[in-house]
Amino acid sequence: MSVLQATLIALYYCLAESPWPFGSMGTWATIDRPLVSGLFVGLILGDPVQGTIIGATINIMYLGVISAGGTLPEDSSMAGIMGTAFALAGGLDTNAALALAVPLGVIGSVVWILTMTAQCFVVQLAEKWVNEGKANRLMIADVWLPQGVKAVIRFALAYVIVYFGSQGVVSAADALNGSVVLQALSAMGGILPAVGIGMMLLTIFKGKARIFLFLGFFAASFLQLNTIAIAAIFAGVAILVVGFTADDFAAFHKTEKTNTTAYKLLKKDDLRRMWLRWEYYCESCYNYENMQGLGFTNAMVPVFNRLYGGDKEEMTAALQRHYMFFNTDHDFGGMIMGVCASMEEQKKLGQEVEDEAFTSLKSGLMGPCAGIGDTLSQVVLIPVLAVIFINLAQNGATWAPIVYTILFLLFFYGAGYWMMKLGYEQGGEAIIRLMESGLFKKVIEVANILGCAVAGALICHYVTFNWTVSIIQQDVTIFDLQTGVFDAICPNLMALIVTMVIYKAIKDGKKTSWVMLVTMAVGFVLGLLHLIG
Amino acid sequence: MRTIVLTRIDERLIHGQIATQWLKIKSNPNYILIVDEKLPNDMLQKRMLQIVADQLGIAVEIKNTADAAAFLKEDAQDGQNIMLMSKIPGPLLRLIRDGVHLDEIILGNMGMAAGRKRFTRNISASEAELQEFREITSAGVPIYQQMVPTDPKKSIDNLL
Repeated sequence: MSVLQATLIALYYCLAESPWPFGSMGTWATIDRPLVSGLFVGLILGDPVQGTIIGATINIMYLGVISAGGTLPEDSSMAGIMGTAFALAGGLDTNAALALAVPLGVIGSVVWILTMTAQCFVVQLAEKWVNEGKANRLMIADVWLPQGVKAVIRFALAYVIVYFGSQGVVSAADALNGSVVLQALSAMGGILPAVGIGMMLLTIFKGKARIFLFLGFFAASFLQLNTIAIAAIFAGVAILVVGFTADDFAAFHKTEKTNTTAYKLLKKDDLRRMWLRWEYYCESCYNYENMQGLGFTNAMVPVFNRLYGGDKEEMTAALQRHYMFFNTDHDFGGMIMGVCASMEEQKKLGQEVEDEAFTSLKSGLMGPCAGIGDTLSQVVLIPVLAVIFINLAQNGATWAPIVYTILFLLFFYGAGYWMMKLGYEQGGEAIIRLMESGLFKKVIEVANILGCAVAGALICHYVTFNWTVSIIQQDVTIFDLQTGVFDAICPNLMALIVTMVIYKAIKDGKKTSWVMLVTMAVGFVLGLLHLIG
Repeated sequence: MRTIVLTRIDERLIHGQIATQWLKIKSNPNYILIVDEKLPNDMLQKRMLQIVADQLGIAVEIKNTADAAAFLKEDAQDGQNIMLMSKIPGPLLRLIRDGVHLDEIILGNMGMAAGRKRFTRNISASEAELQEFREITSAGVPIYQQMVPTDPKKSIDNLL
């Protein structure tokens, strides 16, 4: 690997972990995912097709990753970027790439926790500026300072890992070429997707959805349907099973703008800039003290400038009343911002709006919004889209990651902008009505069913566990455990059994990193002993 | 008296990862009683709490101190394990004075606000609230700092 290539890969890592180019969630859900980073790392190293295939495979491990409440259990970013880079450099197959990806993912989460903690120092600076009413300096505290520092740290770390790591992988691969160790690694890697799918099941394997896991698996196994076919069919089945009525959509009917003061002082442009600043920088300075609190305050600045620009006292008061703990899903957060913008406008127009009103609205709504929003974006939108395009990418379609990115951004930002407008034009009451409606619950139920069916298909297609136990007499195989027993009952049945065992372990509370390590160990040993292959 | 399995002070009440962890403890809380003087009259807040309760699949009741005391002193219901919550120590102190027995109180989040002094990252308290803590402990109810069930219980000596 040349210095230029290592530099480009390290730069890609920095970009993927930053709010650019597509915003906080926009970037995290797309170019930061193995499905997409595989393509770009492949491009840098001269083999985009193989890069796409490897990236897509690694992504399966991380389909179940959910970041909520200020935690990130596994970081797919390092795993995808470095895993693909190492695999391409060392000429490893996808299973071996998976085996490498796991420890890299752990390194990634450690880095994340470190950056979260480090940002506490910037927060003190931000607090000073809030109390001094220096609204326009908040971009420095929220964005430029933390991103600058993080970029330097990440670049150094990524460069070292990819440049020296790939050399290590190449020499190790050369040394182990053809040996049983490489074969055992491959066998081990074949089982690893089961851990990723098991993690995904943790959130969706509930109630009615459970039986669909098996239906999806059997559809893949006996009927030999591919993942996309199963997704399409079971999406329809799920919608039928859950059953939507006209009542569910009542909250969406165009009611009159209940915000009678809309656009009296604020312009659409102010709101748009507020919203974009939120979507881009809400977590740019994510910290344990106030989570998205600084991001929220900074995002309100375009609105504050319009309403209170030039009046230092009013500006300081506005900054102070919003600078508090805040943590919620990004799209729903935009909705809350819309309501707050309308309330600030009403306050400026002379209506009586106390500080307490803002606090109780924000703290009351952020919890439920996070509960629904995180589920909708991270359990519904991302995995469903990812699964379809992983399937395509695995066949070498380098356009799959690109289309995935475009579709995600369209959905996410389309919904986000609509929600911000809803919050601004119809107020807190509309948000609560929307959330009280059964609609979101039903959408999530559909997603659970669909997710389980697709998980079943994924298990059949991507978890490899084949016994190589056979009894041979005089050059004739009289008994083979895999083909004679398991395949005769149901093709790839072992994959299902293994995944359910792993799922049970995770559900019983074992930490995912422990489960990954144990799975790797067991897989490696079984592979070494030539029991699986 | 009704069965209280957990008593917690947390201004964020039942939101967030932390609350959901507390709902999974061995004693199996399946009924949340929030005691607060202003909340029973705040329709907006009540609706929002109800949304969270629906998401968690658990029953939630919001009562002022007087109603909560009367409720808690009723006969225990089989299988009902109550998680008692308050944003601040005041309502819990009034419950104790009214004859409600509490085994212990777990102190979670009390955020920074006007009139409060910050003690730890998660706990800030005013002089009046500190006095309430003292009166609760001298009434025989121990108070521990503990954010999540897997954390060790810490005494609140550093506050008093």
